[in-house]
Amino acid sequence: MADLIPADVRSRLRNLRIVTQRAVGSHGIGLHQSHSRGAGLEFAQYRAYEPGDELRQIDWKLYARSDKFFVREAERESPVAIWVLIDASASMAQADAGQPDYRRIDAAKSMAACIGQMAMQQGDRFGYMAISDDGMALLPPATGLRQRDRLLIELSQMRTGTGFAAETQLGPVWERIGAHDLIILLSDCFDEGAIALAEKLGSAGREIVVVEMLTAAERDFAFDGGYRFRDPETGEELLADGAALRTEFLARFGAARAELHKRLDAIGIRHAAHLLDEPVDLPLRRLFGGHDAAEYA
Amino acid sequence: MGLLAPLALLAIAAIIVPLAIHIARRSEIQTINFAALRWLRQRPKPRSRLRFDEWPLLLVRIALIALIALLLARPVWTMAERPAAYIAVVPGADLRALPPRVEAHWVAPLFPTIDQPQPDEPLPIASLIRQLDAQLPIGTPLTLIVPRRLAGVDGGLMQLSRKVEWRIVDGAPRPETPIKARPMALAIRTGETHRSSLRYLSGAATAWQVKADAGNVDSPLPDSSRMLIWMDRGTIPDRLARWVSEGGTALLASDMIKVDGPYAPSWVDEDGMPLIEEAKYGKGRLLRFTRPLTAAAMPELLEADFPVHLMATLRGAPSPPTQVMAADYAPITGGRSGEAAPENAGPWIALIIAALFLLERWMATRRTRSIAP
Repeated sequence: MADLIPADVRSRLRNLRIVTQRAVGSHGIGLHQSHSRGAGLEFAQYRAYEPGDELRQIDWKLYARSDKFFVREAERESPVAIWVLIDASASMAQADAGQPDYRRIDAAKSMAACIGQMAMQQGDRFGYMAISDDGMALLPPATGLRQRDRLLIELSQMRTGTGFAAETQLGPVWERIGAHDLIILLSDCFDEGAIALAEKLGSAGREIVVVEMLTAAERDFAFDGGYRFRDPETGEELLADGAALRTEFLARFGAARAELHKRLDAIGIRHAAHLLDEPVDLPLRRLFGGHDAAEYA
Repeated sequence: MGLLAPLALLAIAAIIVPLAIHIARRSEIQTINFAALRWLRQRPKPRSRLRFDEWPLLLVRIALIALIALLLARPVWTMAERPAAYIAVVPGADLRALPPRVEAHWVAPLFPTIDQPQPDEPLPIASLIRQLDAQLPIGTPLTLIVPRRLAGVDGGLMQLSRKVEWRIVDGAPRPETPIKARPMALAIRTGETHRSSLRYLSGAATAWQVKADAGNVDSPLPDSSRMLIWMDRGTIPDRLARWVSEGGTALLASDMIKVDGPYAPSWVDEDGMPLIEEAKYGKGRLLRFTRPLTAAAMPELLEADFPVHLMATLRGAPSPPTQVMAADYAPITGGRSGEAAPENAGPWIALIIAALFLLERWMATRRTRSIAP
């Protein structure tokens, strides 16, 4: 399995933390104490009794078998689950002419792997959903190394559908995502369904962050000469001359993005854009990094 | 400019071949996925699909084909007019009359320059002057330097298209052609079968007041200044043939075997049938009766003017006078101005084609060229 995180990105991830804005402090505990163990539902480990441990924590059945005191520890659940929602519609399979095998969805996978890596490092639970009309891939949130590997396997098996999921297919999103979870939506935001989902989640009090996955062609429109432009979702085609369309396309596309940003800002959804020729950690850094670290590139 | 074969210009239709070559790759339109199509759709501008790659190379190729078509059409052009004066010297004129170091030409075939030796064969001077007038571009001033007495003229008027400076200088026509008096002298050789015809011939000689050298066919041949009448049958003896070909004139009987050659009638009867016909034989003339010399076959024998006709036939057509005083032969204007002879432009176009071909090869094979057509 190819490494989804480039080496330079991995080194920069080390000093980046995914911080939620709403869930912080709600449990009265510090930021990301996922390694603090104690009572809880999820069994973590046995350890030898040390003076000062509460007697009720001793596993008496184990004492009966082994004649030694062991304390049963459970991992306390992190208050925050980080959800990576990937738009797996066909438009995400678009790549730039300069890098034909690096699609939007590859960038999204790489970014999801980065988020998983960071969440694992800071001990938060993280889950993943790939949403398309072809069905939903779901990885329930958990933490740890194994969860990270499960995420990588899920990412490597992800397939793109044709469009975004219909409203009726989005049940698991509402069932699984908790009220205090952080949701990171990786989408090109071309599908109204994806934007509507983000708006609903935001309106419902979830903290959601949107990363717009854009290609360099959508930024520059560097087409010269005649091309047959094909929409991968609807299959519509347009025969046109690139140079003649550039100015108008850039204006219209910029207006559409401004409209989108206005909608997102109205609900307080933070957003960042990712262009395929930029490093994948840049939008994460813009969203979660400090002011000084945001624009390092 | 003109074209000798304008239909060959149809070959210019072949320029579709390079056009097609340069179009072809363009027709494959690249299809790309573009999800943001909805912001592109508003103005589906129909693209002009006729596009060509590598304009310079295409232009060179089109020019190459057009020039080849032009070459096939056999272009000619008339050279630009040269207003430089043209001086022509008739052979025999005194060259001292020429201004020094001026370019002049002999009035001789191909009009050699004056540096060449003076031509010394008899030349049709009048015809050459007319040719010169027709060849020279319209408007070129022409100066003709002629000797006082001009030879080689003909009966036609010297009517030229331009005003000619007719400069008469000392000198005599070259070569000096002596005017030879040609006294009539006759020799008659008769064979056994033609004794009866001797009467008519002797009678004619008597009428001419000429002493005929009569003899039979075995007698030696006379010298070539005499006309010879040879009345015999069979083939022409070798010695007679040699005598004629060295410049003699012989009249043969009708039952001699005819020598090959184009015969022209030189005396015809009232019905237009030839009585005597003539052919050239070597340097000499060979005449023959077409009928036997009997009064039944040839009633003209009995006519009173038979000696006159016979003499005229034997002497042949008198040569016309060819000399004139140059002052009396000054050209007059008003002749039809000849179109200047068009020159073949093919070699120049072929040169341009070769240069263009090299250019095309260089452009088409240079290293920085793209892979397309």
